[in-house]
Amino acid sequence: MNKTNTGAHYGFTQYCYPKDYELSGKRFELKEGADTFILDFQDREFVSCTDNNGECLSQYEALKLDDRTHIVFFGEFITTAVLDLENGFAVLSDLKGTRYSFCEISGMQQKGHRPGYTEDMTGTHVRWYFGNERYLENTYNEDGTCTCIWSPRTDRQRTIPAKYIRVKDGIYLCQLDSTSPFRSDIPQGFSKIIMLQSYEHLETVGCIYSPALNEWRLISGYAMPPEV
Amino acid sequence: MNLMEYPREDYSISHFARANSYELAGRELYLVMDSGLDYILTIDEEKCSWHIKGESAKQAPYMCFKADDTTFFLSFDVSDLENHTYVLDFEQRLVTQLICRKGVHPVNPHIMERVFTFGAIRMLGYKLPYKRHTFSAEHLGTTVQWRWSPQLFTRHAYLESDWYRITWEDEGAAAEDFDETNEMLPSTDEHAKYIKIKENMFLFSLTEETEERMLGDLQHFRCDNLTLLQNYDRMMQVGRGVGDVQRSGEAGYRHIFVPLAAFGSPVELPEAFLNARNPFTV
Repeated sequence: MNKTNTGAHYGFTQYCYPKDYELSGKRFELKEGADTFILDFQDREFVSCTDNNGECLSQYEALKLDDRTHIVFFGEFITTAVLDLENGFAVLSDLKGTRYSFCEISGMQQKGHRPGYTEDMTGTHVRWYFGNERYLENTYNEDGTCTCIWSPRTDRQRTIPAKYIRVKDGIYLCQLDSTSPFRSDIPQGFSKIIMLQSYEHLETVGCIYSPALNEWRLISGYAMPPEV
Repeated sequence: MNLMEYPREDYSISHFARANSYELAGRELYLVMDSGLDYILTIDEEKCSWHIKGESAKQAPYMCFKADDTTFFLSFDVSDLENHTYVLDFEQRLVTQLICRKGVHPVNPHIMERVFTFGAIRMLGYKLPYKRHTFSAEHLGTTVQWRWSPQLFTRHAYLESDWYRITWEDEGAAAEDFDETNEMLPSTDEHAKYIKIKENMFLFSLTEETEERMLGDLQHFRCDNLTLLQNYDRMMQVGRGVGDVQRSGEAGYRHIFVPLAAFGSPVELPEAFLNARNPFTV
């Protein structure tokens, strides 16, 4: 029996990697200037996040991009954390992903440059495949926007607001904020896309998020040059 | 800058290799194997220590990849001549062990012996399951395209229980990599085994033994064993390759132990390819 399928039942989440439970039982203190954030991964499901506003317990989901780099989503809306345990740095968004903090992880030796907003990605033109023939084509523009084409609506192209963050060599965090066209492969309403991208291995992990539903779905995929 | 032109290494079929999973670190696994030998694995973030019950422990660096949330592919080299691979299925508390050994064939030291053993994972508070992972013909008839890198993809046909057949496009990275060797062979049929792990998940293990027997010193790769845990729900596979390779400009052979992963998609293959007789069987 031919076991293959097109992943239609998963759509944009077809190629999503298995969840990462490695953080379970671990506690991280993140510092940016005078601000301190504590992420306490209590088990495979819940994380406690403490900041200047107090403590908040929520469910989380995590994926790994490389051996020591995790991306985590949690919070009442969507908070994103990237933990670079190789270099001792972390990137942490605020409650709704409007601002990012670039932190040191206490107790770890910091190596290399602190993460930060970047223009490195400008000029990159890439097609990210998240499932069988389901892709998002991106051109990262100089003015901090991103031009997107969503499969299969190759007739539609939108230039949308974006945030670009350099995490470490070859690894970037990209957040795209906009709606996707009707009848594209992304479920309607899932308008925010957060991707941790490796240009060494041309892979990405992240999520699509719907502000209206306040839900996210984990995604993973690989990059192709758009002309291929 | 265009990051698609990032100065990356050439990873070949290891390009999409997954991040190593350290989720099993801190655990001791007691494996009750049908061979009658119980294996104990103790895993930390760097090494897997293993021993047969009653014997002394040895340890080795390991690769560990997840095929789904509860199924792990664990592999380590005991030496350049011996590799141990486990599929650890915590959903069903089952295990499949594959031990590959080189240097045991009396004539050709590259020929790799493969021994599969099935068993169960002993877990506190649970009875040992009576079910087992099993050799299976269930996914015979599958044709699939595996993308190993942005440039490289291959197409597999699983047609017989002990064989698989491979093809690729006339142009492109696969043709550049594989045409020269395979043009010397009457077909691309090669030794393979299929084990059902759970619904829509199979362990696929191929050994390039036919190529080794027919071509010997004419090739760079010698009787490699590629073992991949295939998730047909998500259409992805993870695994590892072991064997010997002769690099250009080097005398002698070097042992290789490399991670593998690929993204899958359905593919239709020509009838002539699918119906061609396997020339290596009677």
